[in-house]
Amino acid sequence: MREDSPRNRGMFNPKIIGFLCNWCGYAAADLAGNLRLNYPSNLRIIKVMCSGRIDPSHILEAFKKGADGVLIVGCHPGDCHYINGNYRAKMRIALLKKLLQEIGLEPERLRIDWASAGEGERFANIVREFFEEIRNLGPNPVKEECDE
Amino acid sequence: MNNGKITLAIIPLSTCAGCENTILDLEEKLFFLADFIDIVYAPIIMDSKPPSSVDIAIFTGAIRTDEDERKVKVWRKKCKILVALGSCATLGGIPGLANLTTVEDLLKQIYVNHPNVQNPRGTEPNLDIPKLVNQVKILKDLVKVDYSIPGCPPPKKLVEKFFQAMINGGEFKLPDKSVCDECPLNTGKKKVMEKIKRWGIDPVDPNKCLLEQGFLCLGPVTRSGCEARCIRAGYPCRGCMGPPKGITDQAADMISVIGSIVSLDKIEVEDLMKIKDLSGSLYRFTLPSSTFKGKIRRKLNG
Ligand code: SF4
Ligand code: SF4
Ligand code: SF4
Ligand code: FES
Repeated sequence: MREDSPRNRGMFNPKIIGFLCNWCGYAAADLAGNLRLNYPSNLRIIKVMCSGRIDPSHILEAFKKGADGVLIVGCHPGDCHYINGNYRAKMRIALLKKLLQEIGLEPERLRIDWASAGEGERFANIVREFFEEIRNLGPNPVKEECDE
Repeated sequence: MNNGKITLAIIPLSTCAGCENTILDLEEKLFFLADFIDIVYAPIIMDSKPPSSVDIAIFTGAIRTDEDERKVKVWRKKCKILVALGSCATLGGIPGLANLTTVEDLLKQIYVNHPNVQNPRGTEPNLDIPKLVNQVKILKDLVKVDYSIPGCPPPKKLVEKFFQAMINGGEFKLPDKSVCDECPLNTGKKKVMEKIKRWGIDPVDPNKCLLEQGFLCLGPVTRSGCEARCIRAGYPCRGCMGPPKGITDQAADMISVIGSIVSLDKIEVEDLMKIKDLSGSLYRFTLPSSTFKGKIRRKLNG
């Protein structure tokens, strides 16, 4: 059953933004698609060249515009095609989570993970897990707050 | 206009008067300005009645009370050119950090819970004075602002340039490089940060970029124009000029910078987690103009 099927309407249907690196995260998503693996269709994918290119301000902007969760998937440690972009991303996301916590947004709404081009199943699992987590957290309060 | 002179009002909101001091600090240049500009209203500096209209209205301080909000809206109708002077008026400034808490909690802390206060009945003052607002806003969010001059206090040179532009009819633009560009400690080489240090605790090398030493120096994400005066005085930049053009969130940008310069061999995520008070340090002057404008508060029961 698809997560956004009519039977599930009325339930909270989170919006999740996925920043996927071109070489691994995006390739894994592509593979998951080709393998027809089932995972929540709530993920809206934005392809970036490398997880190291994701600017923390873009993530804040995504939350401000109403994303309930932001998922970043890059190459496994050691496999980044630009040497260490994923390590740098990991540092930034750790700090950004701390900042989010301080300014009142659950840091669990932001997640960084790794999947290689051959790991379609792993990718689908990450998305499923994150989807459940966000659904438990409920809607992002930021949007409402900023609209006032 | 007044005898061919530009009329000017300097209107205090919730100000510390440091911005007014910057204008007085122009010293002998004030005499030169006085040939062209008539200061008709400036309650922090001198006593006078508010005029019905002026050419230029300069606001100092933050919008911290309902009265501040009212003043800004009223004066917008009374002036031709509206100027936000200082970090408080342009970015939110130090008073903007109040957006991390609520008025209720703040008053409780000050009048009831503070260790120096004995107030067993928990009474809070109930005076007929302007009410604090729950969310400090920047002028730009309330009215059209024609010119903004950030800085806490704003650099004298910029204030002087602004007045000159008004007199000569020239253009006034803020510099939009970063503090690092004006910093004597900038080597121009790519920065590498090998440690995380705390200001006031760890020893400082006065001849090496403070950020590279491991202190939080906001130079890379802060607008130039102050000639890196804090670093010249031996302190890290705390970001009072706000972000340069094109950047809206100083904290997010600083996090990006830290990610780019940390030495991956010497610094672990756990080291970064030891940095205290990220929101207070990275949004020190800009919280009300940042992405979320303050702490995200949830309405109870949805
Ligand atoms: S910007 Fe600084 S100097 Fe000016 S009023 Fe605010 S705190 Fe005072
Ligand atoms: S980071 Fe600070 S100390 Fe280093 S060059 Fe920039 S302004 Fe100067
Ligand atoms: S060095 Fe930084 S904190 Fe100091 S005056 Fe310049 S911008 Fe403000
Ligand atoms: S290329 Fe995939 S994380 Fe850098």
